[in-house]
Amino acid sequence: MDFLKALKRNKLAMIGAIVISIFTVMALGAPLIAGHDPTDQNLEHVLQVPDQHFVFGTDELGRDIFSRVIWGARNSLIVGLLVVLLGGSLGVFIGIVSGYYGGPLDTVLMRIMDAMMSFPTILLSLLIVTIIGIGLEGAIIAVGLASVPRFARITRGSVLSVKEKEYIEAARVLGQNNFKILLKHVLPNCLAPIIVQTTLTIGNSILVISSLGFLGLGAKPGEPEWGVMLSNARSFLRSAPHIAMFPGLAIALTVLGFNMLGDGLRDLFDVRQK
Amino acid sequence: MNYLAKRLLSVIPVLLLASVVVFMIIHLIPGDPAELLAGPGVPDSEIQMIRENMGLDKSLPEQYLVWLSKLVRGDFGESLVYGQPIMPLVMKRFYNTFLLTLAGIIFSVALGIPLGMAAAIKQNSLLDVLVMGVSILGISMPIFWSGLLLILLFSVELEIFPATGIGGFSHLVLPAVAIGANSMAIIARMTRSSMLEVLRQDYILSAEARGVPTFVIIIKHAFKNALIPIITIIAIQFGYLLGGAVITETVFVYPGLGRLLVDAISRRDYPVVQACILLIAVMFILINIIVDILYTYIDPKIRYAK
Repeated sequence: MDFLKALKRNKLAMIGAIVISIFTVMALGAPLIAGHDPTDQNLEHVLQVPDQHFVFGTDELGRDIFSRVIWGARNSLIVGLLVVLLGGSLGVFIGIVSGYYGGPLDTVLMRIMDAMMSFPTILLSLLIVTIIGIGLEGAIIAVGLASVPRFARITRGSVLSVKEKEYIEAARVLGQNNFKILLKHVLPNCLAPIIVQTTLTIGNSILVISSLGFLGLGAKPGEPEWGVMLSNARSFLRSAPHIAMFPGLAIALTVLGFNMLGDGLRDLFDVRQK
Repeated sequence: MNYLAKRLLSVIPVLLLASVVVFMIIHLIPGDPAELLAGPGVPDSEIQMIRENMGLDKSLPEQYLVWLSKLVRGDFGESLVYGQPIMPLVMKRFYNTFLLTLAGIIFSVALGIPLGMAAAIKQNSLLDVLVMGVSILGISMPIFWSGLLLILLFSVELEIFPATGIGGFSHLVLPAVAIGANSMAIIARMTRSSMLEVLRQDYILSAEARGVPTFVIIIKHAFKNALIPIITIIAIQFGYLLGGAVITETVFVYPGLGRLLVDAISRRDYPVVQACILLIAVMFILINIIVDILYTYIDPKIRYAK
């Protein structure tokens, strides 16, 4: 309860949470909110500017942009969650093992993480996409794996600081096994930085995945995905600039929401970086 | 000097590791590497020839050493799509990407540092709120969207700068702004918080008490001491810019490494993919080293600590 009160006082986090909630409602209620099927072509209404029938206008195949943006929210949020589920669970696992057991295992794991971090995220994602193949599934796995090192580093750092605490010592003396100690005592005390990282990673993943969509290496052409929609808009910039507005705005707002919530939570939990 | 030598030597394992990762791409892709390199619809006899010619029938470590020794001599192999040697193809592109990244970082530093400083000096003023607002927006803007908006405004509407292609300064302006905008925002934020930290110190107060002019205090006393975290963030941004180049080059149809890489991935031109990724990674690693060396000049503590 205290936490919720504190959250309410932090304007940054509050605005972020509100923006995210709006997009979540859009995503959950997509079939109800969107007036049209996002892939329905209507060649009688091609490249129409926004009016009362098509609030965001239509694209080059007469598809309703508003409906596509709404369904895009569903796509993006699902993708963001999947990425974080993959990268977060793998990264947290590596971080806990590395931090708790230490020794040569720790050294090897951290060297691998360092090697991965010696490539910029998008480059690492492109590298993995090359290996697993072009498409949305490939992109999700790629960005998920690319987010592992950061989770691992952060978790390892907080495990190291928790490990020496007296209550861990006490649990050990009481004869609890390692697995139980890790799950019941170490992990809950490392949660704050992991939550912050999760929030920021969802936002960043949405950005990177839509970039891959824009580059033609993510979602298939024609899918209601924000990056793909912007990629199409490029050819009609002169004749129908409105196509380029709404998907871009949607990406920027969603990412902004997650960044603000993440920054706000960092202040709230008083998590220092590194 | 000792530190410098050590730091330079430490690049070697990182470079080797990066080269192993890039080498492994072709072997990690599901399927027979010889078939992948031959492309679709090639008869078995020819695939067998490729396998022998490229030494794909040897063990992995042997293959790696052959590949690496060719690489060191500047031989990246041949493009599967163009049938030409890759080296001359990528060098021109490498230069273009370097130019774009440099222009981007110059833009982001030239604008980000003064904005951050102004925001720190006039903390909580309208200017401060504005700079911070714009910067959090800048961090969340996808490059490909801001790029499209820049084209829309400056090429389509105002017709000031060309939208696509290469040639001269005017072609570089919009891509540089697009690629540098995020970094500009981050540098401004970092400069602000770093300056605020320093401005609170006692020696700033004492300098004020001694009647040192405000301008001198800000530049000589405060900014110089706020510089280390700012340089760190600029270095990290350089890496982001290299990643951003991939997207920016596609938006502006700019003939750089990033665009070549994206094209090569969609055409399954694996040797070109390897060359592009390796070059970008090498550039990334070298920049980090240069920054580390720069540190030692700004902060002697680092030189003596190690």
